[in-house]
Amino acid sequence: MGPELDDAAVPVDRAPPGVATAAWSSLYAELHGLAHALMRRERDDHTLQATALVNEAWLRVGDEASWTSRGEFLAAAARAMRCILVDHARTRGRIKRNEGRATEPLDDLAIADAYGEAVDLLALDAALDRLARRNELAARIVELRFFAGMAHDEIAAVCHTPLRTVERTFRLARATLFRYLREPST
Amino acid sequence: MSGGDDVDGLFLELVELSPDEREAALAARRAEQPALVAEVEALLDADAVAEGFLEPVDVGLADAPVRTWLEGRTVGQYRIERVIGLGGMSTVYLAWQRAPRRQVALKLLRAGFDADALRRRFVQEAEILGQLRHPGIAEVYEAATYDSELGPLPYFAMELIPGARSITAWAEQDRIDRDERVRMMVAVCRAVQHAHDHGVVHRDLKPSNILVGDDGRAKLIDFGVARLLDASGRGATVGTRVGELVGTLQYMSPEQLDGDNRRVDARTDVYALGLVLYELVAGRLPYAVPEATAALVAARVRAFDPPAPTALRGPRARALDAVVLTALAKDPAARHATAAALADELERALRGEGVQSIRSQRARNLRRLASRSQRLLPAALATGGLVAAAAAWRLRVRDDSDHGSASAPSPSAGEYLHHIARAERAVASGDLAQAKQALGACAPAQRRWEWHRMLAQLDGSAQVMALGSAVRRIALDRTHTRLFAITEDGRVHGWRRRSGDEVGFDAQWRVDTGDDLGALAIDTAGARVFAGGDQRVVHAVGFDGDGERTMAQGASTIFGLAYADARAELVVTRQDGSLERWDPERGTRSFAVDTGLRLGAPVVQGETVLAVASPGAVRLALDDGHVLRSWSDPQGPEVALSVGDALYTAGWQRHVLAHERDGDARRWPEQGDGIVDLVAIDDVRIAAAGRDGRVTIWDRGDASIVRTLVGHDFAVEALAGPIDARWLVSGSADGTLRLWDLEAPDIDRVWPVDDKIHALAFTPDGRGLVVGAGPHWGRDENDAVMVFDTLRGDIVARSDDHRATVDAVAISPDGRTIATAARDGEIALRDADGLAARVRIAAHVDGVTAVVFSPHGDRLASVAPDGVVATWRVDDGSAISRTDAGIGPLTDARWDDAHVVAVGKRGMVRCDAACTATSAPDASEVTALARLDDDTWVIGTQTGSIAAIDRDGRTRWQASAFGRTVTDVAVAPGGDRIAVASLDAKIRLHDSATGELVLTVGAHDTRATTVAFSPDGRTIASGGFDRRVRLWHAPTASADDAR
Repeated sequence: MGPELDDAAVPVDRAPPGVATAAWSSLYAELHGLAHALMRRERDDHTLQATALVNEAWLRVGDEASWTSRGEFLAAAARAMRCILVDHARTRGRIKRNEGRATEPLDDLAIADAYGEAVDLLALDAALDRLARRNELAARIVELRFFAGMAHDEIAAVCHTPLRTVERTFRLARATLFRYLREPST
Repeated sequence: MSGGDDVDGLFLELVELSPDEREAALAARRAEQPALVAEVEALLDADAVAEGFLEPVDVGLADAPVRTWLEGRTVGQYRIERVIGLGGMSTVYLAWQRAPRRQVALKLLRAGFDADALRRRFVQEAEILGQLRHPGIAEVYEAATYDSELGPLPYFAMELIPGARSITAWAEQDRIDRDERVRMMVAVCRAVQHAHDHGVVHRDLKPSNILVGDDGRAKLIDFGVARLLDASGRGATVGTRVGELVGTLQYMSPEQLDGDNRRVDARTDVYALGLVLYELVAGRLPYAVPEATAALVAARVRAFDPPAPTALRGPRARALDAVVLTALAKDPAARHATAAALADELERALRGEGVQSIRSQRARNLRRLASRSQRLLPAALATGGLVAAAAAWRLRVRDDSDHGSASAPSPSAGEYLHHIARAERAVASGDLAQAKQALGACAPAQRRWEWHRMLAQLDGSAQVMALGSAVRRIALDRTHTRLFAITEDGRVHGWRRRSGDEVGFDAQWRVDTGDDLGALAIDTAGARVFAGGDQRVVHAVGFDGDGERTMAQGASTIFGLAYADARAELVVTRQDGSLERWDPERGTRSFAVDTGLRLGAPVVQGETVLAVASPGAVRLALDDGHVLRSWSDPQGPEVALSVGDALYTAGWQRHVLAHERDGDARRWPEQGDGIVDLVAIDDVRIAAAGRDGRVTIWDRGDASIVRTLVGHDFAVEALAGPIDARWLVSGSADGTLRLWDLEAPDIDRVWPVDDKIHALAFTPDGRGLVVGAGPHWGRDENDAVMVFDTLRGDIVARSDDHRATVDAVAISPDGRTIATAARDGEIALRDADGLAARVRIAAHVDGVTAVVFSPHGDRLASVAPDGVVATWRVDDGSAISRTDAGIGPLTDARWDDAHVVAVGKRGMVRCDAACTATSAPDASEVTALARLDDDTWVIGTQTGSIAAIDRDGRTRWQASAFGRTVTDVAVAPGGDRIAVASLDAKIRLHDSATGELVLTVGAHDTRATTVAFSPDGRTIASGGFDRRVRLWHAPTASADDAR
């Protein structure tokens, strides 16, 4: 398991609205431990989707707190994953390269940028905050999809929004973030 | 951006419309609100490009590009656009040259890497490349220095390769066929030769340094670690000290790994070219190198003989194999002397001509194997030392990193646990060869449950016979008492079946024919084995390896042999298409015909011969060789199997083709890397030898896989059997034969039950497993006691007569009485047969957490959340004693002679008439208890630790169990291991002497609640809230291991 967390380390203020502190703390601690255990193993050819981590957390703490639904749980997990990954990226600084494997030259930098690259995970986090000030639903959708791997229909249920609205708003969010990241002056 | 909401709103309206509809909507507004429209269009453009952006994130990514501070800047006469590649000490950018106006690749030393030595190396690279002019080498245009705010940075501009991909990526993505890959490599070899001619050795050749661009040409890049040879051909040390390693470990030659730069020369590049060739042909590298330390990599590379690359993928091509393997020779002197020589040999192989490489390859093998096989065979044949021998054969040099000496495995416990940990990691990352090596390094006296468990995960075979050379064909005689094999080194091997109940083979002999053998047949009546191959002659040997002679000399390579028992004749098929029949007694030929077909893998059935013949299979009359029937299989199969009315063909294209009676052919699902042999097990099942090292058992009715046999390291080449309808023999390119018991149970079994499991226990004979289940909260259904039969895996008895969740079960020492306790406080004493309740006791007020039989089985103790320890008579259920333990709720208990030891929230007590507290300072919040030995107890705690406490309450050791509450502990029958079930769903195994974690055995889907060892020590059973009983087997373990 990962490093022990004291209460102060759990960012209680970042819990999504409506989630009890105890539930949030327990979930955060669980995900934190899982994510750190994974990252310490550093199995470079074996990545794990955030969705799998979140599912594992669900199995462990899902029946402890009083989550009204799995969707509510996933929304909180998405937020927690985002906090954990961004903190991790911040402290890690540069991405560590594997020994013994050269990098393939890239064809399209723009898309590759968004994946886990230290600088851009932080940039994405900032861009998400910026998007949230403009359009809260859009930012929420991206968070749920990107950090918890939720599908559009699950997101629609959690956000109490029609599916089609979710789909279109996601495209808006994606296009906006894309521009924020490539042209930070926009 | 302007008017956020308006922009967003308009975007949302337009995003799902077609381009025409969008244009129509925007046209109207364009004049009035140009800024708004521009914003929306920018967003729509971004939407079009951002497909795939923001897919769910992967945690723990390895590589990623780093955007740098140079983008958009001008360096010399180049304007930098973006990063296109990242090297060890440099970054490559896409840049525009001012004059002539063109795109270039600009390679700059990375900021931060400004140590003088590296800078010098960088500059040297530019100079070297500047001298080389060849279409296969990326051209250097200019080399200069850039004055940045971080200081002067050297750079050079070189040819940009549009659409550049590594040669392996190009081959895989564009699905390039093998011949074309080889042709591409011929061009690469010629380019390398050009560099050699100019005195430059690349030293770092690997796929990412061989780029193929849009124009379909390969170019070499990154001579960053290149070395200049002086005129005499020996290398001057240029920027690299002896011992300093450069280049990528995976692609380094043995001499580079040794760190001795003086031996690095043109043939080092030949080796690297051989590796890239291997990867292009076989689809993978010959050595799996998970460890990062050069010493371990060096050991593996030095010891390991890779299998022929064309055996792993695609049709066989012996000439190409010989060329590639020669380039990969450990000794530089055995490789091709120049890259041009390698290129010439490759071209000869492509043209189908003979290559010089064959002879040297075989000769090398024969010389080396003579010494190796003799040393290992006796060890391989002894039962119990099997995998160690096989592992040792694969890796002659042991892992040196532990103690720097290549001696016999050291018996230290710490080292043993280190090997186990290594093996566990290797199994988890799929590196079976590494795992086997780690297990092989463990001294036999040290091996415990975890060792046997991992062995079973890696190798399910019952016996391993190490032959020292890739197996080509195997065969059993008709009485199934004799087994034979031919191997790549030209030997014929024979075994005899051991007498007794257990099936096994020993008494091995071998005969060296000096031939390149490909065919094998057996005459059971005459007790003779026949083998044939390139020398065009049949070698006949007696069943005991005696009386070797040759016969059936012919004009062409022997492709196949089969024996017609009824006629007492040997059937021979040759490369030139002839089919012959020979009388082995007299050594004369009775018949010959030119069929015009190259017949492979012939099988005699009655008066016919079934064989594969491109493109499909044929059945010929034995008498005169005319074709009776033919089947088509475009993949050019390696094997044809006839079962009943159906015919099955299979080959390197991965699927079996089932030819039905009516002429239709049905494709089976694809499996692994191809199938090269088939054997019928019974009416329903067929076994297939897979190129991925697995043997798969198929149900031919619905073309589904019913079982997979794992154990071989490389392609399985041949199958024989079944023996007694139950045992199968396989032979593999890894140089071993393996015997399999098709009825051996799976090493993991999962049984679903209706509800959450709270308790389980084995019956004393080990055959039954009693399970207590029920909901965790309220609800009145599904509380049950079940008895499973562990052999058959089904429920043989069940009782639902408890009215609440069954929290505890116990079995009397004589196995005749079962005690179950439920959450309403009731205990039932039942007959083990059928679970009928003899006596019901209203024992406690709010539940019972544990019930335990006394050593004589006459008394039962129970403990509960009400803090009471109660004892009862087993025969009639009457109460004997009732004591408040005084430490609050109790969670578990055991008998200690006439006393009861109980544990709970506030520690541990020992009771008879009264309870005395055992003051163990760490024994607070105890959740589980087990007896380790006469003086010691093992406890698990709420905080997730386990501890060993002696009878005076002193802690012998304490260990962390990873932070989550321990729900149950169980001690192995041998007393050396402790199994721990945890709230975090995992089942772990700890050392009972120190508490150290030894192995994470497995996991439930959620909280695990109970764990137990079977009486024979081979199986761990566990149950959890995921409503599953899980059995974890280590079939070769034994309770005697520890004694």
